[in-house]
Amino acid sequence: MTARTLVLVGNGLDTRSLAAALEPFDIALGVIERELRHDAPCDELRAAHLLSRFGPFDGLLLAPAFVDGPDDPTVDDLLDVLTSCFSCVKAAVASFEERAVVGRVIALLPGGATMGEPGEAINSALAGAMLSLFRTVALEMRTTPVTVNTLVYAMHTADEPAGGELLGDPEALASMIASLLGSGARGINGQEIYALAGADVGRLHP
Amino acid sequence: MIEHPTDGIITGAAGGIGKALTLALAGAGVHLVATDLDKGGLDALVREADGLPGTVIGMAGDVRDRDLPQALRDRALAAFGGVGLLVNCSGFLKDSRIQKMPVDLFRQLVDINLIGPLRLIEAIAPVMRMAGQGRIVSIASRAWLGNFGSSGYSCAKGGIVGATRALALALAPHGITVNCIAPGFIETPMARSLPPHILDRVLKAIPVGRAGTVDDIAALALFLAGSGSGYITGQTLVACGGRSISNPIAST
Repeated sequence: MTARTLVLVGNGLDTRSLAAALEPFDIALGVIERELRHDAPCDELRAAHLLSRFGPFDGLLLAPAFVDGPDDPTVDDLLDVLTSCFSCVKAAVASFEERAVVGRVIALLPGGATMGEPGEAINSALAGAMLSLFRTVALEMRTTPVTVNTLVYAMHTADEPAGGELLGDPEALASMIASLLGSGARGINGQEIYALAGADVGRLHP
Repeated sequence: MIEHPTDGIITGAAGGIGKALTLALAGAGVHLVATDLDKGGLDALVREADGLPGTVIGMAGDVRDRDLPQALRDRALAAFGGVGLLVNCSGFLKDSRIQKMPVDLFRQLVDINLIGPLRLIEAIAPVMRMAGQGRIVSIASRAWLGNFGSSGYSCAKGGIVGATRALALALAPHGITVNCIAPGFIETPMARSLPPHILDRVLKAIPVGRAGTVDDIAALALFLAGSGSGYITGQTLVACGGRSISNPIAST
């Protein structure tokens, strides 16, 4: 198995457990934390610079959801984060094309906000926007070796001690990421995988 | 008998779909504050609506203006005493593949098609909550399902669909419904300006064999605004002549 490098650009999601869960798959995770909620939205040049910190990377993970903090996210934050996400996807695609390599772009979205939750309008708008952005970019990339997919993950529930981590099942998430990185997944493009242990069954997906 | 809210606000009112919606709603007796960037178009709309059962007050503005939502709300409250309906119809479309789309254009597309409508909802929902009733209808797009060359536009419209689900759940206990309409290819001046070979390809991908009309969308909006739709919330109604179940690759 060849060692691979993924760059994760996140918005405060605690990803230590995900990085640990990816290690058995020989996948190194370069984490750029909180860059999506920087003072100013990330433009293309800065996105390219950020991604290049980790050398030639095999894939980009985007985890843009706002996590609980002292301030509630606003629609202005939403605009900035979506702009930064777009810049990162654009920079990643440009990097893959320039190097003429297989590339993987994966969005990580929280299940609750993606399915719709009262009080989560900004995160639900963000999730819906990311789903549609990724569907469209997948269509545009369909004749290239770049695939663009979304994984919808479970969070820790309130009655379950999170221990500082937010991801409900990092091992399961890592396993799916590893699968999407493999050459066997080259035909999987523009898809959304709801890894919610069935919690979404019976609800319309967005 | 279907009843509609007595008063409301509509954005993008002078555009193809917006104009049809405004006239249909005013025809049904809804008093409206109508806004659009195009002041001339808005003035013409107000003249055309003269004599309809519902009054149309024109108020030119840009949905990117942070102060516009409050101004529209205040105008509607002063004129009608309430805001029972909000129709988000403002929109801006400019396509380009992701590699060629400038970040500034992407940001502009999201600002107009997503951020503006969300600001409006933030300003108007409290008024509806106080009244214990309301209807919010946003014009999304079939592009939310993914559309070649439309990364900015589809991203914004997907955001509207996502927000609609969360807002519907939050506002349902207050008697407010929140829904979207996702039109496919609609015959508007913008659509008619497409090069013939592109137009031909687009039409071939629509199973019913024709473009939709603004009246197709107005009929749906009238339904979602009316009393007959009180049990429908958080939904995205797709009006695309079957395009969303046909092969999308055919038109790329």
